Amino acid sequence: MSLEVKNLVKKYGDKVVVNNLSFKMEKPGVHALLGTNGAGKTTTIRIILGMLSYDEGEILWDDKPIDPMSLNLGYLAEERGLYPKFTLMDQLLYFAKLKKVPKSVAKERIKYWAKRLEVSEYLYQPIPEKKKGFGGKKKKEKEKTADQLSKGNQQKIQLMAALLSDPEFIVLDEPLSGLDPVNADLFKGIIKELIESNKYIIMSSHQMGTIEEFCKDITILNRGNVVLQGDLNEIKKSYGRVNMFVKCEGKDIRPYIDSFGITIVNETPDGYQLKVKGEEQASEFLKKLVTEDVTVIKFELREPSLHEIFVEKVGNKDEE
Amino acid sequence: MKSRFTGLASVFKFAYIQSVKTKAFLISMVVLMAIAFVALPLTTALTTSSDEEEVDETKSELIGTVYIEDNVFDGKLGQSIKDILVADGAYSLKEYALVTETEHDAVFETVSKSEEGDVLLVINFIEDQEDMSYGFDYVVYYGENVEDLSDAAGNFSRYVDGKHVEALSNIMIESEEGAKLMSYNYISEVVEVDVQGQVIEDKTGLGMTEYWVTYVFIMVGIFSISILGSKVAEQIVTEKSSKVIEYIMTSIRPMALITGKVLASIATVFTMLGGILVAFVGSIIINGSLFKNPDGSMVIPDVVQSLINGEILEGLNIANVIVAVIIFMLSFVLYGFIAGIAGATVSKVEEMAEGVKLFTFAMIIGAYVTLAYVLSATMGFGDWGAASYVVYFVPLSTVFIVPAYLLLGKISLIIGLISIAILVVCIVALMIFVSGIYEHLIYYSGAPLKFKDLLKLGTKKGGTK
Repeated sequence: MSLEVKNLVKKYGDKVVVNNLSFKMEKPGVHALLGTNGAGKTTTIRIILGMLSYDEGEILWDDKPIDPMSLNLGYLAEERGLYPKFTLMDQLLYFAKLKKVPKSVAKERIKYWAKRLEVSEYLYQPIPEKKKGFGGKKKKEKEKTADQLSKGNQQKIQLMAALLSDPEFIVLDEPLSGLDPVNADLFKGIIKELIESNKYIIMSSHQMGTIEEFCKDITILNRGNVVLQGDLNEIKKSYGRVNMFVKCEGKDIRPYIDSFGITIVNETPDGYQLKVKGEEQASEFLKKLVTEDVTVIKFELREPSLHEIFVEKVGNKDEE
Repeated sequence: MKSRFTGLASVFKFAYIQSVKTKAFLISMVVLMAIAFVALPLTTALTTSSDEEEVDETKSELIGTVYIEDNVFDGKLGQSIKDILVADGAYSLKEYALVTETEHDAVFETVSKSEEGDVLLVINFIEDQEDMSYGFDYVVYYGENVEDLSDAAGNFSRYVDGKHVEALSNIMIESEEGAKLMSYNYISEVVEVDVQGQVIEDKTGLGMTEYWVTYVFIMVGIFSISILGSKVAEQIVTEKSSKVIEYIMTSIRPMALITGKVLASIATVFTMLGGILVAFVGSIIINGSLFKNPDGSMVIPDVVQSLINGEILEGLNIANVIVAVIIFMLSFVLYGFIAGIAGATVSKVEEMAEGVKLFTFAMIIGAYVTLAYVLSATMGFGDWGAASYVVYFVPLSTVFIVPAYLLLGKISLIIGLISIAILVVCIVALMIFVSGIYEHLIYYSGAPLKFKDLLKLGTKKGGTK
């Protein structure tokens, strides 16, 4: 199976919001869609999901035009989207029904995911001992509705809804936004499991650290245009190891930095973040420090982070 | 490939169950059923009077000689009725004459030309069991020369109706056959004839009872359609404002969503109406237990009695009932789609009142044009000529007038069928329009859209943000 987006174009009137976007997922894994606000990520996602029409291009699943209604797909939207006044169980069963999941199977999966996401208490109300109705029968507590849950818990319920049909293709739009560190780790664990289960996943996020953890391939959009695309590792390698961090004691190393013509990216009490031309320059710089009896506490040479690449690409384009 | 309506059943079931589960619905049902339950006993208690009191308002002084033609029991039943009328009540001092079938024509001519308010009561028995009028048939004929004689004749007819059982029991010996005769239905009619002896059929005018029947139909229509519209619009707006629509749209198409919601809301309204009807039937039973006539029969308010007798519902037959029900259903679908569009033009629940203006406007036009038409007929201004067909056929007003008029016998089945055809065409056209714009409306988030914006969307290819 594969997912391929070919030369996708979407216009609103004269404004092109997605301009000639192409990417391919030949193997299961995660493809990241990145971009600033208004770059076209959500529009692209909606087009792939069949929620919006498009003007040009093709979207192929398994080399055939995609039919999202027939495909077993799961979707976690960026914004919280649950019926505020209906019970959670009713909603989940409804969503499962829409995905043609048999009721008994849906109930099993709801139970599993509720436990996994630690939301069982909101779905399965305990019958308290104290509350007894007429005739001494125990009364059930009223089932929870979505408006009684925090945003984070709503997000968990939505993730459950997305995974109830055991989809082969999953779209996660900002899956970790608004989550506390504990729940963020919970979500990350689930995403890892999904990857190991050979799912095809498209993820959109502003959290570059998360993207680096999971994504092999990325597409960075800016104002509808692709500014960078490809294998993340390859992209990083193409930049080379040019980011250097140095922390020294005793002497001010500023003169040495200036003498080598090295760019200071950031200066903090903790040390200097520098940009070098390459590994050779970095090596020469280190030798100089050692030769000059400078006490080097920390020295690190690495590839740029995705955050840095993103800012460089999108920031430069904005300036242009 | 999934069709446009795949998932409709799931949407319908969920929307219907969630609608009828709500506290608001349950409370409304209970309140309305309670009102329906006490309506009849309360009405009976307030309006029922003794025979003398009733007769005091009957304009009996307008009636001259009462001719009675009994074609069932060789005059025995006619004699029995005469004996009862003469014995007591406002008609006790009238002149009576028993007439045979051979004298019918001469008496009929006398009555048609009478300026004294003479009336002819003809008693027949309809033997055809397939005929809806099967059973005893009482027809009161009167002429057109005396003003207000129609009211007097109608009151006389109702008075005689109340004496039918007593008159019959007076001539029956206690036997199985007698008991069987007592159980037969009877229909009564009041017919005006001109001086040539021709029956005057005023299909365009409405008597007061007919007006109230039509008025009830209109009010039930307004009530039902208001609830339907608000439910559909509210559901759509809630899904949009809560963003749950984004998830749902990955599983079904917009047409399945709106169609499912419209059908679910119709089912909800019918559930409510069904509950009210059940309560009303219970009301009839309770009323019968609480209030009885001296002869032991149930006391029923005149309007309801005339409905049960079939006096008013002259068009009550299987075909008309089926057509009336179909018109109701199709009209609800039409209004439901209008409400669905109205709901989708806004993005927040707080804006819903603004959004449903379109729907409310459409309903008000339909209902008030109908009311004006009906009032005009009641007040004796007759129908509107060719403009009447506008009222019947314009889909916005069809539901308020055509079912009622069909059952009242004021319009023919053909008009009902034409109304259905027009409704179907309009619904199809609306669905085509909706399918073109609903994708945009569903995801639209911004200021409420106006009607002209909808038209622009419908004529433009590709959406604008």
